[in-house]
Amino acid sequence: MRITNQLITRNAIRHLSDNMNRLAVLQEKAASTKQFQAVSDDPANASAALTLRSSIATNESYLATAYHTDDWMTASELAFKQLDNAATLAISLVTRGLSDTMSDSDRKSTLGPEIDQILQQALDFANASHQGYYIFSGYRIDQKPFAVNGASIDYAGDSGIMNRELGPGVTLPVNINGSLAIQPLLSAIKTVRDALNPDPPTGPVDMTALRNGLDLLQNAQTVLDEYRAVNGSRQRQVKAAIDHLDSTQLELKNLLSKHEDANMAEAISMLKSQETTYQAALEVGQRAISMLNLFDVLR
Amino acid sequence: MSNLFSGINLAYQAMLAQQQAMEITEHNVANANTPGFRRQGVMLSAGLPYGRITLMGEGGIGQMGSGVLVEKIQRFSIGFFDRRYRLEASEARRWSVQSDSLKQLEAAMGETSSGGLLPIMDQFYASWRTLADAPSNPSARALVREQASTLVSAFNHRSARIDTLIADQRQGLAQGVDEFNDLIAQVAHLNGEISRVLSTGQQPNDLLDQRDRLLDRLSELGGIQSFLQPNGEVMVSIGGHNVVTGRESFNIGYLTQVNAADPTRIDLILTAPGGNPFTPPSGELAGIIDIHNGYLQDQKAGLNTLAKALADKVNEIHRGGYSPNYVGGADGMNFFTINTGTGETLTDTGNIAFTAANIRVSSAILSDLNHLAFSDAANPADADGNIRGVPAGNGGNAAKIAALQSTALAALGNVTTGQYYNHQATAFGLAVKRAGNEAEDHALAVETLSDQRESVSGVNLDEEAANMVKYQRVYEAVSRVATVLDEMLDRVINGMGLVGRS
Repeated sequence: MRITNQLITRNAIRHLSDNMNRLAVLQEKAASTKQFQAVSDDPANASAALTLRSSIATNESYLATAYHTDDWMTASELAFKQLDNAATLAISLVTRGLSDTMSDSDRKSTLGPEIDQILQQALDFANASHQGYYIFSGYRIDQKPFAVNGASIDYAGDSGIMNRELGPGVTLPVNINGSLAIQPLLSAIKTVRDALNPDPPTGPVDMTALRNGLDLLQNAQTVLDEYRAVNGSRQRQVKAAIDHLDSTQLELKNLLSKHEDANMAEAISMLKSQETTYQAALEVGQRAISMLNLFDVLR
Repeated sequence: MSNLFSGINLAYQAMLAQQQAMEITEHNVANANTPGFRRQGVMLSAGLPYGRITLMGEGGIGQMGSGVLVEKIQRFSIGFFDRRYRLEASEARRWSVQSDSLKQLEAAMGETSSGGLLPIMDQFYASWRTLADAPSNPSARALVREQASTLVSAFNHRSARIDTLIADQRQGLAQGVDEFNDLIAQVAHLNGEISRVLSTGQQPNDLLDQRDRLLDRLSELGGIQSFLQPNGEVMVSIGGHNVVTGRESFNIGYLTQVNAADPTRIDLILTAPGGNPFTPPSGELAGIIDIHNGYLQDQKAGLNTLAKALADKVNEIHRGGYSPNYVGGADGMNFFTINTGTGETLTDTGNIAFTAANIRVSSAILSDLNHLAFSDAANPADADGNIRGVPAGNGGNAAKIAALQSTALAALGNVTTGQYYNHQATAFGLAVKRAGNEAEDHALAVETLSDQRESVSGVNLDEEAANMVKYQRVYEAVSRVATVLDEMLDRVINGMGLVGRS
C-alpha cells in the first residue's frame, strides 16, 4: 500500500490517542477501587452488585427490627420473672396464712400489709414499659394496662397482637396479651389481699376466700408460666434470626466485594505498564511525525 | 515540417509542459495537509506525429514526433473506495451519536451510586418497616415522610433528565436537517459548475475535491447514496428519495407525530421532499431518531410504569388503613397524589395516570403526619359511640406497605419493584455498552478505509520531490537543446552567405 505523510501522522496520533484512552480507563479503575463506574462498563457484575446492595440494605432493616424485638421480649421476660417471684411469694404467704397456727389478728397484722405490698409490686411489674411504651397493653401501648378498681383489676389495654417482620414473609408476634397472661394473677393476688385486709379492719379474715385465693394463685401462676415459656421460645427464634441475618450480611458483603471491587494489585500494575506503553508510543510517534523527507535532503 | 524553427517550437512546448508539471507538483506539495485533497498528476503524452514534408509531398523515412504535450491533469481518486468509506462513515457516526447520548443519560441517572433509584426505594420500604415497629414514635413518622419525598424527587428528577435529552435530540435533528439541506444545495451548485467545466474539455479537479468533501459529510449525516452521471453531475438520494438531481436540490424536513401504537409517545420523523415520511438508512440523523423514538422513550415508559405500579399499590394499602386522624365513616386517604402543575389531585381519576414526572407525596400528609395510615384497625367506639383514632401500637398497615418490597406486582409483570428496576437499569446499561462497542468497531473500519483512500489520493512528499527534480532536469535539458538550435540558427542567419564579404 502506498504510504503518504498524512497516513503516518494520522496513525501516530491515533495510536497515541488509543493509548491515552486505555490509560484513562485504568486510572479511573485504580483511583476509584471499583471494577466499574457505570452499569454499561460491566452489565453482568453491575446487575449482581445492585441486587446484592439491595439485599444488604434490606437485611440491615430486618436486623434493626430483630434487635428491637429482642429488646422488647427481654423486657417482657424480666416482667414475667418478677411476676413469677411475686406469685411464689404470695402463694407461700397464703399457705402460711391458711395454717391453723396463726391467729386472725396475726394474719391481719403480719400477712395483711405484706400481701398489700406484693400486690403493689405486682401491679408495677405488670405495668412495665419499654422505651416509654407499655408492653402488656396490646395495641394501646400508650395506656397503662392494669389498675385497681374497687374489688377487681381493670384492664385498659386491648387484645391486639403486634407482629414484627424478621425476613421476607417471616413475621413473629412480639407482645403477650396482658389480660390473658397477667390479669388472672393480679386478680388472684387482689382476692387474697382483700381477704387478709378485711373491711372494716376489725372484721374476721374470710378463710373460704383465702382458700379459694390459693387455688386461684396456683392456677394463675401456671398460666403465667405458660405465657412466659411462649415469650421465651419466641425470643429464641428472634435470636436465631439475628444470628442468621448477621452471618448473611457478612456473606453478602463478601460477594458484593467480589463483584464490585477492583483487585488493587492488578489495577496498579496494569496502570504502570500502560504508562510505560504510552511513553513508548510517544517516542515512536515523535520519530514518525518529525521524519525528514526528500525535500530536506535534496541539495 | 522539420526545420530549425519547428525545433525551437518543440523545445518551447516541452519547457511549457515541464513547467506545468512542476506547477502541478507544487500544488500537491502545498496541499499535502489539506483534508480531502486528492493529489493531481500530469499526464504527459507525445505530440501527434506527422509525416516528413518534402517538395514532392509526404514521404520518406517515417513519421516525426512533435514533442510532448500535457494531455490531462489527472486526479487520483477511486470512486469505489469513496463509496465504501462513506458507507462505514455513516454507520460509525450513527452509533457514535447514540453512544454519546446514552452515556450522558447513564451518567445523569447514576444508578451505581448511593443516589440510584434502587437504594432510594429500599430506604423507602425500610422507613415503613421502622414505622411498623414504632408507630407512635414521631421520628419514625418523620422518616417515612422524608424517604417518600426523596423517592418522588428521584422519580421526578430522572423523568426531567430524560425530557431534557429528548429536547436535545429534537434540537440536534433540526440542526442536522438544516445542515443537510445546506449541503445538498452546495452540491447542486457544484454540479452546475463541474458539468460546465467538463463540457469545455477541462478537468475541474479542485471542484471535484470540494464536492467529494460535501458528499462525505452528507454520508455522515444521513447515509446518502450518490450516483455519478455521464455529464459529471452527481445524483444524491437518501432512503430512496432524490435530494439532488442535476443542478437542483430538494430539501428534507422533519416533524413530530404521536405514536400510533402508544399515544403516550411522540416520534420524530423525517419527511422527504414531497412530504412523505421516511427513515434515514444510517448516519447521525438515524442515530438521533433511534435515540429519540426508542431508547429515551423506552426508559421513560419504564420509569412511568414503575411509578404508577408503586403509587397505585401503596395508595390502595394506605386507603385501607387507619390514621390517628381517623373519624368513623371517613374515606381512606391516598399517600401519593398527582401533581397537575396547577395543583394536586388527591385521587387517580383514571384520566391522568401516575407518571414519574407527576408523582408526589400528598400535601395533607406532608403537613400533618397524623394522616399516616399505619394502623390496620381503628379504635373501638368510645362511650358516646364515636370511633376516633387508632391504637398507638398498631403498625399493621405500615407493615403491609413495607412488605411490598418483596411482593411481586402484577402491573410490573409479576416481579418486585426492585427486580423490575434492576432489569431496566441493566438493559439500559447493555444498550449503552452495545452502542459504545458498535461505535468503536465502525470507527476502526472507517480508519482502515480512510487509510485506503489516503493511500491512493494522498500526497507523498518524497514522490513530489522526486517528480520536481525529474521535471526540472528535463526542463534544463530541453532549454539546453533550445540553446543548441539557437546557435545553429545563428550560424544560418548570421554566418551563411558571407562569402566574399568581411
